[in-house]
Amino acid sequence: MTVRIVPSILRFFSAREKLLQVQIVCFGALVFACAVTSNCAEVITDNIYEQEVRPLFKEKCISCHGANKAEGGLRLDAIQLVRGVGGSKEEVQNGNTVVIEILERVVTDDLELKMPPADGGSSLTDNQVQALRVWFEAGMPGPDHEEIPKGPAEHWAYQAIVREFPANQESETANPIDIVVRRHQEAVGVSPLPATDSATWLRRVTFDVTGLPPTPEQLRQFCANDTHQSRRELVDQLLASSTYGQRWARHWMDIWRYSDWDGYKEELRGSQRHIWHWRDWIVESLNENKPYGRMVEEMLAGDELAPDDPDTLRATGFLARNFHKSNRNIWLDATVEHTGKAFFGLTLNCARCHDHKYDPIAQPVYYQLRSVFEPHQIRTDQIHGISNISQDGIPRAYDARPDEPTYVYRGGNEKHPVTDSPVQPGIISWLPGTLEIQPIELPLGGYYPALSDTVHGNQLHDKRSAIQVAAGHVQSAAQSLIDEQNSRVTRLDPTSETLAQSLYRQANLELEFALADQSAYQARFEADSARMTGHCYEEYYAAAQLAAVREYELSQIRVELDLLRAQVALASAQAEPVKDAKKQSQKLEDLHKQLSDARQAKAGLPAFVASTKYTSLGVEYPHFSTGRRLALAKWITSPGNPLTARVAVNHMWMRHFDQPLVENVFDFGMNCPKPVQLELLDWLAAEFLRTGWDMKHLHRLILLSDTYAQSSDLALAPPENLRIDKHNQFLWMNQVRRLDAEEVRDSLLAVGGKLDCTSSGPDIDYELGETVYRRSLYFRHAYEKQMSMLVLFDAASPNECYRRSPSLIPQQALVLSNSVLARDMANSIALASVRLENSVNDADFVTQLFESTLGRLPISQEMNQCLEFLGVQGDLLSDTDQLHSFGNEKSHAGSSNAKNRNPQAQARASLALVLMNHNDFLSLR
Amino acid sequence: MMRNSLITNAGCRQGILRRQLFSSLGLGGVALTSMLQGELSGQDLAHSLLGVPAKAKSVIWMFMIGGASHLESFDHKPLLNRYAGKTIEETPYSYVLKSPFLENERVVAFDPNNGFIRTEIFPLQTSFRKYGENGLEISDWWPHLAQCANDLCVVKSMWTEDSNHGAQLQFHTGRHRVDGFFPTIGAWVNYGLGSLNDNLPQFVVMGTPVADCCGGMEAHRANYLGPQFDGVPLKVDPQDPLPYAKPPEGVYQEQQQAEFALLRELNGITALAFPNDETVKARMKAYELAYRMQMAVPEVVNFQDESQQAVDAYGLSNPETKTFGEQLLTARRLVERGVRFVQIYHGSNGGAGRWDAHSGLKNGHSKLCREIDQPIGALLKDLKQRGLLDETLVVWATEFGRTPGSQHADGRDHHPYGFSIWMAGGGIRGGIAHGATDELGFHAVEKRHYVTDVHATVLHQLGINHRALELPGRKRLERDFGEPMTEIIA
Repeated sequence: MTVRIVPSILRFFSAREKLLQVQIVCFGALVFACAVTSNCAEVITDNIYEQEVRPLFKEKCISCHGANKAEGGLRLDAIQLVRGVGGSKEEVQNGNTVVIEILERVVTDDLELKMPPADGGSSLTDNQVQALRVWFEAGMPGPDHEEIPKGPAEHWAYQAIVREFPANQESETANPIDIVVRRHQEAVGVSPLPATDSATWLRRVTFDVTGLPPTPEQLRQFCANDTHQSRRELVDQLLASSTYGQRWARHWMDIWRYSDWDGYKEELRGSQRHIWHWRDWIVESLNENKPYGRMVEEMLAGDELAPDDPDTLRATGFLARNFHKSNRNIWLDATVEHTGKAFFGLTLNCARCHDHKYDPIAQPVYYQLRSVFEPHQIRTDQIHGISNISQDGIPRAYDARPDEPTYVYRGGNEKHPVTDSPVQPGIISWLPGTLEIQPIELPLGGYYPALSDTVHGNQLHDKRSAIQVAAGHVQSAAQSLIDEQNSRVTRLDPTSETLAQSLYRQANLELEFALADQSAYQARFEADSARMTGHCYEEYYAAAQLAAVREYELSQIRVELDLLRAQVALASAQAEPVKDAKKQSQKLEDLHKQLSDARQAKAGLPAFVASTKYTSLGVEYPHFSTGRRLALAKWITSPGNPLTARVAVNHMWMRHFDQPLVENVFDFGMNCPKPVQLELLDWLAAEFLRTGWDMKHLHRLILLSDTYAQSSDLALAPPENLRIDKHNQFLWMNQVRRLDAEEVRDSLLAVGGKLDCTSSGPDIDYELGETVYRRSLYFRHAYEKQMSMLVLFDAASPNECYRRSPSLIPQQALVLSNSVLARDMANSIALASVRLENSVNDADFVTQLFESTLGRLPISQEMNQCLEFLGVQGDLLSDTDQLHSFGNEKSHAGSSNAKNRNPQAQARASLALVLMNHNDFLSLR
Repeated sequence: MMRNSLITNAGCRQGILRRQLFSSLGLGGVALTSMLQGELSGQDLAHSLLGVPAKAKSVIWMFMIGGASHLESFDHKPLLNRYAGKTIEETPYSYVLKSPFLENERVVAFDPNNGFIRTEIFPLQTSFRKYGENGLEISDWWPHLAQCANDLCVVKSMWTEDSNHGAQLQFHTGRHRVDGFFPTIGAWVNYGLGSLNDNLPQFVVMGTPVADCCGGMEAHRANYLGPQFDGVPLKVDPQDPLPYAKPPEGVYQEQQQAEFALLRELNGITALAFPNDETVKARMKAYELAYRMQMAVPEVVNFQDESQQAVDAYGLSNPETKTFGEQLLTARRLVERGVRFVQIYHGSNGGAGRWDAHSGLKNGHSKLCREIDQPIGALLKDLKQRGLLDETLVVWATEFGRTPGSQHADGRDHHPYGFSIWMAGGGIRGGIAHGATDELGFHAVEKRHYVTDVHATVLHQLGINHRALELPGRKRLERDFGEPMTEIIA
């Protein structure tokens, strides 16, 4: 065995870094020795600033002594600013400058003076203090100047989105994206790669819009007629397909943190049951091209926007998803954090415990935002036709406690709320717009769902069904009675009732009960309606009295019925032959007890007293919603908000180009440098706003651009491109993208001809992923409940995934070559190709296989290899006695291959499997 | 001192060249050497760059699910017998109830059944004896382990925050359950060290994992480091050791070999057509690795070549010790073959864990100890005999200890304020106890260690500068890194 230690953390080790390391080691030794000789110090201290001091300032100091605050007039975020207050080397060494105070205050025990202050982070380590001291004493060596960080007033992302239409006189038809991109390319001297070929473009665009491969027919058709017009038509057609909504729903589900419910066994601990309604809402909204802004508003405040509309209420799954059984703070923290990250690209969560280190977000602002969400809770509304909410229903947000106070937690610690000054709802004051909160009066169904048409309809339906069932029982009991009389059963005690007689009596009483239950429900409904709609008091009084009467009547029948049931149960048990004496006696004992309880209940039924006391039908919720969430949503989607549109178009761009315009997709704050493609980002954002958040329009623009059509083949790149812009910031080429997890599985199914594109419906058990052929987004996706096949291909973490990071690991190879799913699809392709009615020869089979799996024709070398393989593999598989199975014994009873005994078909299945493992099956070029 | 400079963000994609580099690096060390460094030996680089010379190559990490009692294992507190039945307030040590350390507890949710300070002192449920040259105190429930006392370093001064079983997750990530999910120690090791053996996964997990109440699979996941650094679950079953480790029935070895051969040819054609696309080559490499893994893994869990003596020593013929014995024997075979991190869970019951001795501590713990004591003793001796103990760091740990006070008359509640773990081998000093709790075994008072100090110690012994393990955009807190327990390092 060769032993190699291969440190993967050394990945980007370079000679220069090694040099630095050596110097730092040298420096460290000196620090401990406290012997700084001037010569050595010169060498070492060159790097102290970069390696030690600047990171230290950044981590510990500049949130208060930087562009945001400059407390005490001190700024430490650029070297010349430090030198400005620090003075000369001699002054420092003589001990009479500000730096001496800095050195004292980082080590003092005086809590009033200590830096960083107690709530501002941990103290400096001894090594850090030493590094500072050495650096100061050496005269603060380092670069002459650094760029002075700009304040928030100048930060690019906080500026209004300016729509500068890229006028281009030469070509009126040019895509504005291309105009902007080309202009920048020309300015820096890179040239774009040529357009990719028709087949590659088709595969790219089909996957990008639908998450599925083009069919061989589509491929042939398109390649035969690839024109500007046909491209336009194809994109329109793809965007109009319902598979677009399914594909892009998964993207947005990543960003909006879709998660099915999780819990311990049957106990719900996170998210909500039936949250898949929110998933369906996302798919549908995308397919009907609902404006993005409207989607944001519905997700945050659908219950305030359209309290009567169950379809819209589904959108508040965005909030319901954050439900956390055991701790409200965790719940609301997640809500605030991800509202910020998903919609406007700010890391609000950094301000939970202390003022934000980089952005001007003071700690109380975090709690002001929390206060927007403080009143809300989650409940499940009935849907039409199902009154049992554990079976189905819509989990939705509503304002339960409008007056619930929000307190700042000192240091973010929930044990220390600042209760003397609750915070009011607010947003980030230095961004445009205000929070305009208008309380919203809810319709009856909103605050008293029991009276809604849906619930009332469900109740009426249930009561009617109960009556029908009971009536049916009466009929069958009557028939039994007749049968018994005909058969003339001899009885020991002719005076006593037969079992059939008792059951008949019971069935009649049950019918009576069902009828009374319906009447009682009706009366309660009338009384509740009178009470809630607040007509005249007399009307309510009469209705309530009647409801009380009906309820009493119902209770009378109930005690009768319970008694009769107990009697019948006991009698029939006594009549049963004894199998197990012990069990029998236990059973009889229980039944006697039940009977005596029923007798007592009947005896204990109080006499009727006329009153207006009856049982209300349901829970009454507040009649008003605070309007806070709607106000926040309106602030987020107001055209003046500089962040919302930029964040959204960046997400969309990234998912087409596999490369965002702004690198950190959820943090557009001060820590985010101005993007190279700001002009493009802004043009897209402005266009998005101009068209009323029209997503399909934006997709269309992007997909039909020349920039999108560029080749991804680096070999075609002019050398200067790599020299000038090796990171492709100027978008002169496309990226090869690996398919996402869902695309991998869905493609297997699609090429196997088995994909079921049915939309909508409850989440499917993730363990059925290899045998149920629905699209991947319909399977359960929650903490600990994810399909392992998808996880291995880097599926989204249900907890947070603003961006996927594709990996390449051996287990992916094992999945694609060994899973039942992959083998079954390979067999399915092979079997279809040898069926008599449409059998094809080997060469046609290879061609079709390349078309369906790789979206292109085979080159002759590939064709030859494959044909040869089919021959050899067919021979191999025709004499399986010579072959070795993977198990211990030779076994021919394979589940997936057993039905595929034809060696030719088996060889073809092998070939299909090989192509489903091909690198380019997983890639878009 | 060196922060950020050794690691570059695997998730951060700035452009094509880096991207392609990254995809080729997805294979960890394999791709690194074979594609970038050629035949350059990683060893010299590792030692010069990492700053700390590696003393260990591999880790065997045993985790007791539920919270093993420190008081009945390694932290002998005879005063509990003396004050048994009295409340803590009635003892001279009532100050433990006013300690500022109590503030460290972070409750997720109030639970009426557990997570309380139990004040009525519960006597020790077993007795202790001294073992080894330094008279290390070990309870009578560990007779086999006690024979290895000279190799053990017991750390008696551990503390954590979560008084409920989310502490299982916290022990592996260093973060409270509420803070979310983070890379685990095994994943960091995998990320930091790469491979010694291309044919096996580098981070292997055995035993039923932590239940989803308490962190679930996240206790051996890599989170933002990516799934390539996740712990790979391994079953001690040559027929079905790994998920997807072999094709469905009816596929023949020769058939698959031919498939893989054709795949290599076809991918090779594509690699020629796109010479700049490193991913194609990396994927070809991944398939070779996968194929070898498929062949190598069943061999690891096949004990045919083990002597009868070994089989008996690990207790494979005794139903009580069989499961854990097989896992530890597999662990030895794995580290022998160069696997970096083997994490073994013990005591799963689908919930909080079998070590969770709220009642019946004596019966419960003595049985659990019987299940693992002999196999652990056998492992330590076996490693030593084979000269592997020096380069294998063995860690025995649990999420928290148990209260000095009683619960339900014959059990102890959760206790995050002070508890014990031990380490052996891998350059750790043997035969010593490190740190201490107070007189009642309540608070860790001497040389206190938060859970990440264990991580830092493990990383240090493996030669990794633990401070360098940070990715841009993934700021880690001071405490996430921990500090190595320098005093226990040989």
